[in-house]
Amino acid sequence: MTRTILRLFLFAAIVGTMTAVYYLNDPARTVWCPKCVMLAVTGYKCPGCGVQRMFFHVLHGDVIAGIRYNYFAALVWVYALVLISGYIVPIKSYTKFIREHLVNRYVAYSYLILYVVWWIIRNVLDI
Amino acid sequence: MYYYVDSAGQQQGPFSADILPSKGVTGETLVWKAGMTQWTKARMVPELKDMFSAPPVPPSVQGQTTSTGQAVPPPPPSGKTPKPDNYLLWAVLSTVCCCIPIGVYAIYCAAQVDSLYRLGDYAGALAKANDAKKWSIIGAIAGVIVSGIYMLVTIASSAF
Repeated sequence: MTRTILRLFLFAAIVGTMTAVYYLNDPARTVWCPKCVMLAVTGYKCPGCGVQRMFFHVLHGDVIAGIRYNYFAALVWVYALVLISGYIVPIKSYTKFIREHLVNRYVAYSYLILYVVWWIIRNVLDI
Repeated sequence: MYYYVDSAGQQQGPFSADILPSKGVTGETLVWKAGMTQWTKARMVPELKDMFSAPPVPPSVQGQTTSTGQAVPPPPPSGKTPKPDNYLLWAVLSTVCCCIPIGVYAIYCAAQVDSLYRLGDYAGALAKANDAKKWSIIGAIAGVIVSGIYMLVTIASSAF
């Protein structure tokens, strides 16, 4: 039980810190948000590039501007929020549905394929 | 070495026979070890019956002898062993925010959980789930460390 409380506390601390950092700092203008190592080394964007700027804009209420930095990550966040709700909402059938249909191997492999496709497309089209 | 099914229907073990009582195993708990064909109540296992002092009961006449002779426990008899959490959420977040190759491996582990579970290899699925969790966390930490070092280098170089 204490372990669960400790985890919740840790989770809240991480989310709280990140919210504060990305509300107060525009990643495009500050040195206090890390730049992408892959972009610096290879010149190609990684699949997650733009996520920090997305946080900044979404936290300031401009969801559309945020999504434009990384369309793929925007979808992933929606998916992640659904999965997180599965951990929080105490309805067994809901949790079971998620575990049966939303995190199975087909979803996992599809995700990997989409991930690579997005990686290529964003560098070809420069988005 | 025995496996047993706990009150939540989860397979546990293996443990040596003498520590089973300390794990909460009673005469009514289903246990299994290599060589047995079925999950059996502990008090009906010859080696264990003295430990769980209950009157001896004759073995049931079911005639199920489809032993494959392998040291893999059959799925718990309830048939309702829940699929373990495969931590795909954390693996996915790891690929988007942190370290790409490690996150991808975590997703592969998460997919394997589902495959093994469908094959009935519950222990294997559980092990893969723990792998997925482990590599998601390692990916996150690696991502933070690499980004942090790069950030410090950027700050240091911009200061001169």
